[in-house]
Amino acid sequence: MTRAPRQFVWDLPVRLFHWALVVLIGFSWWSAENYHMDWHRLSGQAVLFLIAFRLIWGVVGSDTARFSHFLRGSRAIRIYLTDKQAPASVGHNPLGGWSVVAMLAVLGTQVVSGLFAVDIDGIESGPLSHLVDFDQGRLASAIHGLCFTLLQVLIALHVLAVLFYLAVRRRNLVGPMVTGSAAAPAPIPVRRAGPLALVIALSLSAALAWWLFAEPAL
Amino acid sequence: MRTLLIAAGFAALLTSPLIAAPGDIVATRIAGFREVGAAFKNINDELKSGSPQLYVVQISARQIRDYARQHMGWFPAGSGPRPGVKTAAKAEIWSQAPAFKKAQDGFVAQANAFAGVAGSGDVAKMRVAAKALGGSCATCHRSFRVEDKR
Repeated sequence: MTRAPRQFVWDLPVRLFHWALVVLIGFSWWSAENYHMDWHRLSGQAVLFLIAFRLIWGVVGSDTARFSHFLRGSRAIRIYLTDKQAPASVGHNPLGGWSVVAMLAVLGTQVVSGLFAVDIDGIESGPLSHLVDFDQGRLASAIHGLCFTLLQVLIALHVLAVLFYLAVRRRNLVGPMVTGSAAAPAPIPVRRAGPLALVIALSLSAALAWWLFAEPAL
Repeated sequence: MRTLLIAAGFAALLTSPLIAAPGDIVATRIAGFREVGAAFKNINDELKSGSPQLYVVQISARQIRDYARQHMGWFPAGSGPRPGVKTAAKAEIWSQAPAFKKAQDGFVAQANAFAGVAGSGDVAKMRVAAKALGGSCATCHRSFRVEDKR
């Protein structure tokens, strides 16, 4: 008995990144709403690590993780939107690739504003708040709040797009994000990143996340 | 007659700030609490460092202690929420006056305590006292202020 051919889509680091982010965004929201600011800072540190990792992985990771692979021009987006017969791309579609950029940009703004944010009473603050004054910290906090609303909008769009694919296009996008592969009659080879790239990406992002949250030497 | 006029004049002078109070006192307390927040940020920034600048903590502690004393007069009747006035002060401040007074006294007590500890120079004790001071802010704010976590 031969196994049905599978198309490799997402490597393990991308999948772990995705689902860890889902959990951490939820946890960050909950911890902020319930005044667990020590946990909120830890969660932010983990998100910062993940974003830094994803940015590096977008350069050295497997093909489907790379920005150069999934960031396409306006022509590709137009063809994707108008031509139903066009072959489906492996990984992000031409529009989805840019939604990844939008998500990373908003998440990046979220984390960076959080580093400097100060609450209204001057009690809770981000790990770099000592570099700014009270009013600047309050501004960072306002950006942190606005940015979260924007993030919620992007996440809602993302989930709607996945549901659209499931209901209208009859294509399950969640499965590959869990298992890493999808059923395909003629799989296209995808170059996968090796362990060295992984070690480099992990250590660089971990070093950044540690350094930004380290105890300040005022 | 003249004495009476002078006395009336003085009385008018003395009470005019009270009559003008509601509008101004809202601005006064917003500005005052902003200063408390800024001073407390300075304290917490120093205390999270491995080598805090003690004079920053001490100056800020005295600022907070002084504002804590003043803040007892920042909530006269009639300075609560009403149309046209932007304030996060809840009506409960006046409808649950004894509870509010207790919370205010808690702030003054913690501010005094912290100023004392700051003067002692013991950083470990300062960190504990700063938590208690922050707790007195939070206790009052969660009951009597319209919360904006941002």
